[in-house]
Amino acid sequence: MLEITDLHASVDDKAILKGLNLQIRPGEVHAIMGPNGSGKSTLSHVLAGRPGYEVRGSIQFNKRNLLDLVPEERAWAGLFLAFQYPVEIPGVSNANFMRSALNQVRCQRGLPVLEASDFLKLIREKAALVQLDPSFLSRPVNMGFSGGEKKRNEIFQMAMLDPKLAILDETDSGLDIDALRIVAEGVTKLRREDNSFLVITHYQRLLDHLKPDIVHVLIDGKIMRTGDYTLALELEEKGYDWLKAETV
Amino acid sequence: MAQSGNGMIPSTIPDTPPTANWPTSQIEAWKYTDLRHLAEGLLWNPGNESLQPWFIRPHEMLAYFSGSGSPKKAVTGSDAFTSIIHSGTQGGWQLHIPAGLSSNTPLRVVYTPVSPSGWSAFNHHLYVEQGAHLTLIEENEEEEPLATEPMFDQSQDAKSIPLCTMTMHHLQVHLERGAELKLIRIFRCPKSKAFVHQVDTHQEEGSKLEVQTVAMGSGIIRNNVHIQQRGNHCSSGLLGLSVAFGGGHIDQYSRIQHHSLEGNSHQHYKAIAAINSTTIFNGVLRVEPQAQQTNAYQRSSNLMLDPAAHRIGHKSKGFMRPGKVNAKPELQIFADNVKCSHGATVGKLNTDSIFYLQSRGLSFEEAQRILTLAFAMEIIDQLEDESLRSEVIKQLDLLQWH
Amino acid sequence: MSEDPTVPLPEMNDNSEEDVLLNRWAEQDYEFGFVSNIDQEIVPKGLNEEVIRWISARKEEPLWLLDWRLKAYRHWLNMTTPQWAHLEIPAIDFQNISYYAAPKAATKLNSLDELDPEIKSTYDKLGIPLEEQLILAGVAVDAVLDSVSVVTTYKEKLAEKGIIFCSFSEAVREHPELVKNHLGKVVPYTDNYYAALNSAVFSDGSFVYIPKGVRCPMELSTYFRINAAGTGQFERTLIVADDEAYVSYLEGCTAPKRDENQLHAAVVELVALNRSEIRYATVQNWYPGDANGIGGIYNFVTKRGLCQGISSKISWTQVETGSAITWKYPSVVLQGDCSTGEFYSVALAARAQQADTGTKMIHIGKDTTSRIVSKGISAGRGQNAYRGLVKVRESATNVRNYSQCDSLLMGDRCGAHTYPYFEINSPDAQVEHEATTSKIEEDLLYYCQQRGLSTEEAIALIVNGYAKEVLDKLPMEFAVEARKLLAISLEGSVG
Repeated sequence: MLEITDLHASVDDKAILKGLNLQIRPGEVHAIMGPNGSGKSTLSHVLAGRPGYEVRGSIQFNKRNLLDLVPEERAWAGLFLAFQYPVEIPGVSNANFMRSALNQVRCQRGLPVLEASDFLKLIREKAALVQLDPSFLSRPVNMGFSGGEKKRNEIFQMAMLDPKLAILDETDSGLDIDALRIVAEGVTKLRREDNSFLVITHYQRLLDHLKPDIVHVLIDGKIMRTGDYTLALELEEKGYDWLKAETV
Repeated sequence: MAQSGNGMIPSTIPDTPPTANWPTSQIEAWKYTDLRHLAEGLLWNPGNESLQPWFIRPHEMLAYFSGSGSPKKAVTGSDAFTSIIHSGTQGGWQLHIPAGLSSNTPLRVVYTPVSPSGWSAFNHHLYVEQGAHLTLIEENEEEEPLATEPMFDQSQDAKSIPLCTMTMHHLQVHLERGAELKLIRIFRCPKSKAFVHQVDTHQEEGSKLEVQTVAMGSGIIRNNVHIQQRGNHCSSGLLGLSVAFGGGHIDQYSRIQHHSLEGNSHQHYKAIAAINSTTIFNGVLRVEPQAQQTNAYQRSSNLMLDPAAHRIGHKSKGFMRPGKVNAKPELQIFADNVKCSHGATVGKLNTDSIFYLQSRGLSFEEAQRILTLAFAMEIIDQLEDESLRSEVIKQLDLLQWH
Repeated sequence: MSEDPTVPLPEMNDNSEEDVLLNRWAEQDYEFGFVSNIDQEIVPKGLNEEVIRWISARKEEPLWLLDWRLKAYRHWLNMTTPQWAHLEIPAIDFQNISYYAAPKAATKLNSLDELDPEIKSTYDKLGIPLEEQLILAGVAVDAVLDSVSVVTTYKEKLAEKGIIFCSFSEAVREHPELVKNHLGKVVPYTDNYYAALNSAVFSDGSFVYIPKGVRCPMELSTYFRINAAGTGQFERTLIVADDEAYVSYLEGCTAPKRDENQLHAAVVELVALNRSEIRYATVQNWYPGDANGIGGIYNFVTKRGLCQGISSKISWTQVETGSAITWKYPSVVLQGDCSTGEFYSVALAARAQQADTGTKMIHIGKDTTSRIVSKGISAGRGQNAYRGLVKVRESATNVRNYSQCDSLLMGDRCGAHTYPYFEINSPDAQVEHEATTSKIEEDLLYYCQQRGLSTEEAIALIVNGYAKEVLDKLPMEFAVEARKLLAISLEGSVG
């Protein structure tokens, strides 16, 4: 599904990703862990196409060259990024935002535009998945939402847009235990054989719920180690320093 | 024609002010203070050597005076005020701070009264070279201490009383790369006098400027601060406090023009208008097309003291017109990648607060005095000079609140 | 986006796609730029007392009105054009304008069947169905083409309630006392240059009177259309709401696409008596000129409401997307105690458009309140200025005012300016003003794009959200139209 080869990214001539390789197959859940400043968030934004990065290397996504696509084309192709810091959009209600986005995405995927009643049904169903109160639908996107609500709103949007690959950029940070469980359960319900997840996190907590197939450790812009779920446990116990020391 | 020692005087000076060209309220920047109208009937005061209008009290002599001749680079404005001051100036000081020089000890300039009548004008130059730091205090001395002035006077509006003197100062400042200047001023003006001050500042790359002005009185004060940010990464901070009482008219005008990248400016002006008195704030913030990533903020907070409340608290006699507050914070933005905002508020003291203080045994006047000072303290606390802070507080304390 | 302090935030470089888009937006086509072939009667160009007498005679006006026009004209001769706005207005040759144009068959119609089919199709093209049965929302329409009102719908139904809704000319004939009592009382002919000119030459407009205690059962609306070349439009609207009356009034405007500039100098006067309420909404879409500033309407309009009665309320809502130059300050004089004034505005200046618009809230009565919400959008080479005055007279105790003025900049060749004036002479007034100027945040666009919206859709969505507080104040029928108008501007930019 996703094949990243020798990916370099820099901002203002400061190199952040330094030759990163990564493969994700359909149905897999990958986790990327790493210390502050290792390039985790940069990776997620380079995948989503945020402007401002100088990028070299190759990213193939379902046989398309992702780097040729603008952000919305990547979204149409089935890539979703749950933002670490979701943006507030004054005056635009959640429902309106999702209807515009969903219709556009469906249109691009050759699906018919949803009737208002079907849309309403869908939006309620998906909101229930992350236990968002229906009243939030009429509220402006992320305005006045608590940190936890914003993160749940990201997962809700993910559920609405039904992506092939979802990147969760530190979705667990700032969540209390209950919210974490809700988010994790929501994600688990969305797992299928034909979609994949890339979970970026500092902590093991979310991974306890999600049980990733593969865990990567990102240090200084490169994947330093790849392993199974036990690697996360090992990191939780030992921290990153032992890996850093190994690389020196 | 008089000559004052420093050679800055034009060779021909008219005997009467060329008031025909003076700014009137038709000019937007002078909408609320009509200089031509105010100066009507005032004779020009040619000045004389023995009445040197300035002296500097250096705590520590760091700067040298460039003496006669024009300063290295004069900043010139082209507005109406600039042309007056150059058409009839009696003299002024020049100060040159060499590159790299800095000291924590401020220099102090005190403007003493020149003559008991007529109008007079002075022209000063300050040049701060690369990386130099300076704190300069400007003050004007008045013969009559303000302490005698009652806060709640039923005097007429200062603008309707014929003036006996009008003093004008024009200070031109040039800040080279990385230079830092703190300009702290206290301007006082009693009844039947007018004090007009304009500073024109040219800022080069990375320079920092703070202009802090306390203006108080029952006369007329007009304070213009003009800033041109000509280099990248400049920062300018303006702080102002106006206290107008006994018919006083205090007009604070600022104009900041951002010409370069990543400039920063912030302004906070507070004004207190007592009975029969007027305060004005007019701030123009202009961001030119090339001045991308400018961050600018402008705030005007205005307090009106309430004669009705005063009457309730204190059976007063005579006519009392409420104060007037005019505020005009302007944004002129020609660059898109900027963050600019402004806010203005006008209001009176919170009656609940007054009542709370009264319930603790304070008189109405005392409660009003304390809350008004508290409003002013937000600015006073930020004055960069300890001695000035206490001086301003003392001045405000001395005002008669009963 | 990263919490890691060691990772510098990427510079949000201007997306070239966005630039192209903004440019296209700046040049997007004007939908209503057609010209209708209507046989017209046009008075020769030029302005003098003879022309004014001719207009007055043509409209069969009483002598007092002619006298008033002539007084206004003589006053105007001694006035000069206002120069204080942030506008570059080319000199206007007032002798090169025709001051009266009317469809030849323009005797006022009472039945739509008699209407010239070409005129009817003009309004159909504008999306304004004049057939009463087609007006689903029950909006009564007064259609003004160039200098005259061509048809007014629903008159009889309104008359049952005692509501007068007719063309200004008809009101002069049928209700002379009402007109005489109020004409020029809110906007005297001495008020300003363009108001004086309008008073001298105004040709038609709408007149509304809502009697005591009547709540107008439907939205009243006027559609102004400039069609003839070389003419100016000078209409005059007067709305009087008697005690406890309520009316909501809508106004829409379009004009053909032409290389010449045409002058529109209207006057609107509103009078609200005790406990009455007038809501006045405008969707202004005059031809804005092309991207180089060629052609377009000069929209120099004086609108003012008088809250004469106690607890009366006047609310202005405007969506200004058209005109080459807009100079307009819908104001409220709050004379009655406890009266309320409101001003909600969205002003868009794209292409080479210039707008200097805002409001005046003049507080005279006690316990009066006013609220100002202004949302400016500048794009292309547009220059957009908010100019507003809040004046509190000494007599006005316990006044409240709140103003919020935001500006959105799109592209680096436009400008956004804010000129609020506060003149407060009453010590217990509480006045608050906030203003911000910024561009659409890159992060906001990126977030929307990540969810699959194209740049253009994302901008449309964000702009509509930004303007929402104002758009929500429009009656339903107009809100839809206004949203479409903002969106149409964006649709034109699809690559």
